[in-house]
Amino acid sequence: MRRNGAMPWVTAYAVLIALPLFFALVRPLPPARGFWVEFGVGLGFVGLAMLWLQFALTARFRNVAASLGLDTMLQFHGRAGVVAIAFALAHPAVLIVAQPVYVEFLDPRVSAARALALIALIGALLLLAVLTFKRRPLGIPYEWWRLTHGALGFGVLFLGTVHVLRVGYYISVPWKQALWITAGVAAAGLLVHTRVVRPMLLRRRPYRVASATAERGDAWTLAFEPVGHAGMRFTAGQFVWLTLGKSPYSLQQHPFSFSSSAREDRSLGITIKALGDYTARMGEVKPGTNAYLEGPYGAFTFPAEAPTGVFIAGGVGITPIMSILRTMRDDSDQRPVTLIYGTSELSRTLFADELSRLRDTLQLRLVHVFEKPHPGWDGPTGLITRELLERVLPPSASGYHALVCGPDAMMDVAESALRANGVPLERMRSERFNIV
Amino acid sequence: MRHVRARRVVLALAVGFVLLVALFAWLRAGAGH
Repeated sequence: MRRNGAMPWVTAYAVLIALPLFFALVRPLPPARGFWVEFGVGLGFVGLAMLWLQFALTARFRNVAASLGLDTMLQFHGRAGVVAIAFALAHPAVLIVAQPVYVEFLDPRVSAARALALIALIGALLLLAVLTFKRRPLGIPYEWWRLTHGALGFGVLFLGTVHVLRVGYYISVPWKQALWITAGVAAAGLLVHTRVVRPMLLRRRPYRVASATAERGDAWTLAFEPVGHAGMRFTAGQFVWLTLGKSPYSLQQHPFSFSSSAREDRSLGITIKALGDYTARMGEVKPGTNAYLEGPYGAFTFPAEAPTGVFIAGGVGITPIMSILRTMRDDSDQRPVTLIYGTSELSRTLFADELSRLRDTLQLRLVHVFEKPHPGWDGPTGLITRELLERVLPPSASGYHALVCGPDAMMDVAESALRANGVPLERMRSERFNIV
Repeated sequence: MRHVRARRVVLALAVGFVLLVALFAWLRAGAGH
């Protein structure tokens, strides 16, 4: 992990989640019940606290994201979401098994409103999980998923908080009630901030598509120029959330890496490969189109203290690395770097010509790996494998920093080869581009 | 490596939270005796 790494954030996260349990133990205490009832109640407290913090994980706080990487935070959000839902669902299950009388909470004959609300809450939790993990197989468009994910999240937050307040066993005193309401409102505020306030702020900093250029391999480079403001400064390797069109409230907001040099802050380049239903339409984007860029984000950068670098890219994973190489060119940065770049074939290899030219200005060792080699090619072929990397990686003792970006399978191979080569985690950065 | 870490960290946290809930339940259930 990086020096300013994850530990403080993970600790803060764990403490925040433990707080409801801690406050439940502060006097005045209600009468004691059996172990399993209390265990079931505790699961509910932890589940709800985790669900609250889910809103913080996706709120894109710049300083948290800078030290952890936004992709890491979103992966954490996804996995923590599963655990949170498991805790929240285990809460009624454990209670009912421990004391079958609790089934009356779900019995509409006892209280129709309560039973309906709690069944809706359980349904919303299950739906959140199913829609997220089965979005692609079910063919649900991204924007619909994003809308329902926010709405279901809000519903769970609201019903869960109301449930705790209505049961009220551990929060009989006003200050405890106030704490719970504050936490619930804060989580809702984070959602409103991410989905409403932030787009509103973006509206003041619009961009315009200056040019759309076709690249090799079904990719397009869009260049954006700021309209009425100074643009943004980014570090090579970072990315932005892009919204095209008049409204910053569009549900189609996707993360893309910059491909242009970080020294050209008046013209920001993003290269997009046609991979999904959204990206396939990039060729239709006309110059003059309105756009909003939210960012920059990401910790996928080549540190100034690195003596040398090894960049491993697969396919469109080259884009942030291209930004780094172009910036090195503009900075006359002569640190030796090795680029291992896996693509299907030369005619579909993004930036192939410019990379060849960069060898003249940078100390760049370029290793192309073609799945389908052209006649006369005598370099590496096939996919980027561990054997290949073992052959071409410089010795770890050179102190190189490694950057890896590409499809999941390639990243797994590259990361394990780098570990085997003796590269410690703090000299390794990776970015997965299927984060949403 | 980060995705591996995210998974491990969440798993470790989940186990920790279960133990914490058990401690909470034990403290509460024991409080009456």
